[in-house]
This record gives sequence, structure tokens and C-alpha cells, in this order.
Amino acid sequence: MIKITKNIIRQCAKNMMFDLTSEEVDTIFNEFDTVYAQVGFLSSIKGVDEVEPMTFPYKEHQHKLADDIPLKPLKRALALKNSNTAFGNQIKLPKVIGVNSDVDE
Amino acid sequence: MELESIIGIEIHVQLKTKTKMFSRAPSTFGEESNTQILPVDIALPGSLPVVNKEAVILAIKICSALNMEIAHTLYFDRKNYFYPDLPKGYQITQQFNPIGKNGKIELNLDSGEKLICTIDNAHLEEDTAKQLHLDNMSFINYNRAGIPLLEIVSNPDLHSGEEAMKYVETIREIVTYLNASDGKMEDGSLRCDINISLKEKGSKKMGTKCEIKNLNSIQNIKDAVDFEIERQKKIILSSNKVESETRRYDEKLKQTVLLRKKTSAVDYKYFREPNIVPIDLDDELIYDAIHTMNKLPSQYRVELSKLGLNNYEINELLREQDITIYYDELIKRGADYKILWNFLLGDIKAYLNKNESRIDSLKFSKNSLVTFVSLVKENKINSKQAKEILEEMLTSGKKPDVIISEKGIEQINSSSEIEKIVDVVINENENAINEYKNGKDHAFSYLVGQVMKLSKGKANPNIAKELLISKIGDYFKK
Repeated sequence: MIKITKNIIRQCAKNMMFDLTSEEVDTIFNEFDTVYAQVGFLSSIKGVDEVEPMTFPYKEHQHKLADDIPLKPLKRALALKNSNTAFGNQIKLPKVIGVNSDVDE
Repeated sequence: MELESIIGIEIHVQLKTKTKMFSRAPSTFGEESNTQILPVDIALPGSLPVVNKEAVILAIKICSALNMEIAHTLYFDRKNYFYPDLPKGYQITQQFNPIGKNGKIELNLDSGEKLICTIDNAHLEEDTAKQLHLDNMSFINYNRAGIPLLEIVSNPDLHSGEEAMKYVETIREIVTYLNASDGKMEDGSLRCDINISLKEKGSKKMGTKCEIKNLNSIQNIKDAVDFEIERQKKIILSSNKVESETRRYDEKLKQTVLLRKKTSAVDYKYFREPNIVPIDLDDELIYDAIHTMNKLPSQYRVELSKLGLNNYEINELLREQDITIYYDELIKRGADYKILWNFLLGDIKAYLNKNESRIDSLKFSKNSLVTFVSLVKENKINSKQAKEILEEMLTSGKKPDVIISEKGIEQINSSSEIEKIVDVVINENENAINEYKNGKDHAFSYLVGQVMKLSKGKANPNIAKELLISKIGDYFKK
């Protein structure tokens, strides 16, 4: 298991485009002691590896579906602000498609 | 060695909703880049997906039309891949529990034979952003990211370009008749990927398959598949191995060309989407979706065939749903099926095409057209007069009887009146009569033409012909 460091926490926050204060980093970092302890406890249970992973702890189904009524979209300038490489009305990226790429276009 | 081609097709149908699959951003086509976006579409932290009800309803309609088993609980999964066309880092799809499974459709081949193609599943998912690749950079427009898609996956039941083409054509017909999608291949609202492999006939061992992408017309499907079958055949018969590749169809070269080699299978590490708890669909929602479906092309096909239209006529009519519905309604009002087909698919459609307008913009009423068809059927107007009247109806919207009285167009159906004209024509055209006697058929057409000319186009041509034959007989007896 990867040992979580304060730098990893800061980097994760940065990847999600927000900054954490030192106090917030400390709070999250300290919570990992509890997480490690719980994971360690669970790993010690016999046969736990053979149990299918669960996404939802309870059989909790819902009926809610969204009505097909449009909401006002984000203003383009605001949407493009989330990229630091906007060009004109588009988001600009280095070309990532290669001849041998398996990624679907 | 006798080879057999095995073809399976995946069709992505963009569903005709007002909003996206998991967000309520508008899904309007053709808007300015990056203006149809909400936080969910660009994966802003804290935003969560909610499933679009209308997309589910349209998917149920399509699944029902494809004779599929419909899931009563919806589950969604994540297809993980790192690529900028979906900023979440994954696509929400239905990998393990599709909304529809085990379907089948009947294909009408040109030979008149019917072929059943089975469908493995149909699953809901979200579309990706549109990318534009230039020399060393790519540009992304997120308007398309999140638009609802229904991916329909066939079983490998198809074996030729024609069968592949008919399959896609039939699916396109179904989704457009259901008003569930625009089905426009040229705009990308219906896209298909075709997997083709060849194997020795009778053998259970499958060959290496190639995938053809980016097909933008029904005709290209046939051409691309036929080319690809021949390409693989040549490779195998020259004792070489077909390589697993993604190819595209080059319209100018009329051949498939390499896009990329498939070196290894991509592991998308699918797992259940934890942000959408399973959704139990109300029975009422499923029932309503199925029972409010538009009439399907297959249903029209049976009815039109019973009326007496042939396969060609049926296919031509079914090309456009609004014209089919219009035709269907006029038949119910008593119009003759054949005469109506001729005028609707002939002069009226040509007029609509020329004026880039639709059938619901016609200036005359449906009852006017029924009256017009009756006038033709009862021989009250001849074909020349019919064209003149219809042209006036199309431009002015006037009723046919009004046009007839205004223009003084009326057919002469009185045998005695036509007989007088026929007598004049016979007396003045001795040469033509002799030519007709000597076996020159065109001479008879000439004589009919003379009768029509003298009557100013008003004589009933059938009566004129009968009288001419009888009078020419009398002429020679003399």
C-alpha cells in the first residue's frame, strides 16, 4: 500500500484545482492513521480477499430521474477558465493521438 | 479454401433529448464551442451525475422496437481511461447490466429474402467531447461531452456489405421513426463501428478482426465492408496473416486505410459507478414508453404490402417518415394507393425538394389531394390536365374543382363529342392510317396526339383510343 505523505495530499488537491492550508493538510494526513488501522484490521480477517467488492453497502435503490429541462449553461469564459491553455473558444492541448495509439477517437 | 466473412456492428445512437445524459446542460447541436456545459460535464469537484429521464424513455422505446428484454433496474459502470475527451477520466456506461439485451430485427434484402440479425445488447452511456487534431496540437469542444448515447451491439450474424448496410439502415429507420434520434450519419448523430473477420467456412475458429470506424453514410458501409472482405481475403489466400487493426474508409480512394494497429487489448478496469445508486424504473414509466411509440417502419411495411405496393415503392415511401404518415392518412381518407403514390413521390416530392420545404408546409389541404386523386382515378381529368392542376394546387393552394372551373379544364368524356373529333382526324390523316396498317405503331400515337390537339387536351385519351381503333377498322373495311 502506498504510504500517503503530506506532499501527495497537496498534489491531489492541486490536481483537483484547489489549494489546502497547512492545517487542512495536517487534518487529512492525521486521518490516514485511522484509515491504515481500519484497513489493517479488515485485512486480518480470514477469507476477506475472496469477498466480492461492494459498491453500495445496502440495497438502496432509488426512482429519481432528472427531468429533461435544460438549465442555463456555464458562461463560456467561466468554463474555459478551468483550463490554462484555452485558445479562442476551444481548449488547447498537445496532440495526443499517435499512429499506434489504441485510444478511441 | 472457401472463406466466410463474419461481421458485427456497434452503433452509437445520439438520443434526441433536450439535455445531457447526466447533467441538465442543453444538448443542442451546432451551438458555439464550449457553451453547452455544466459542472458535471467538465468534472468540476462536487458535481454529481443524475440520470436523464427522457433518455431512459427513448432507450426503452428503441429496445422495445428491437424486440429486446428491458431491464427494470438501471445500473451504471465506469469505463476508466485517461484522455481529454472526458475530463472525469472515465466514461459512465452500462458495461454489466445493459438496459436492453437479446434483441433481433428482420432485414429486407434486395433479393426479396429476409434475414434475422440478433442483437446482443443496447446500453446507455455518455458521448465524448469533440476533438480537432491539427499538426502538433488538439482542440477540445465539450458541447458534445455528456450527450446521451444508446450503443446497440449486434451479434456477428452478418456476412456481406449489403447485409451490414441493411442492418444500419434498418436501425436508422427505427430510431428516426421513433423520433428517438436524428439518425444523421453525416452529423454524427448515428455512428457505427464495424468489426470484420474472415474464417474458413465451417470452421469454429474465428479469424483476426479489423475494425472500421468513421463511416458517414449508408452507402459507404456497403463499399467499406465489401472492400475490407476482399482485402482480408487476398491476405489470407496469399498465406499471410491479417493483423488486428483499426481502419477508416477513404471515400476518394474507395478503400479502407490503416488508422492504427491494435497492439494489445485496453484494460478499462470497469467497476460500478458509485455516484449513481441503482434506479428501479416504475412499471408505469416502462408501460407508457412502450405504449406511446410511433408506428414502426416494419408495421408500415406489412400494411403497404397488403395495399399492393411493391418492395421498391415501399422502400421509397419509407425513406421519409413525414411523407409516410401523410400517405397513410390519405389512404385512410380513401385515396387510391397507386395514384397517390405516383403523385406524392413524383411531382409533390420534387416540388418540396426544389423549394426545400416539408410536407406539412403544403398549401392545399389533405382533402383537396384526395379529391384530386379521385378525379384522376375516375378519368375526369387526363394526365396532362392532372399535372397542370397539381402544379396550380402546389403554388396557390386552391382546391382542384376551383382550378378546373377557373381554367376551364374539364375532360370530354362524351363518346359522341370525341367521335366527331376522331372523324376529322381520320379524314385528314390518310398517310398515318396507312402507316399504322403497315405495322408502324408510332403512327397510332400520332393519331391519338391529333385527337388530343384538336380537343385542346380535353378528350379522354382512353375513349379516344378505343374510338380510333374502331374507326380505323371501319375505314379499311370500306
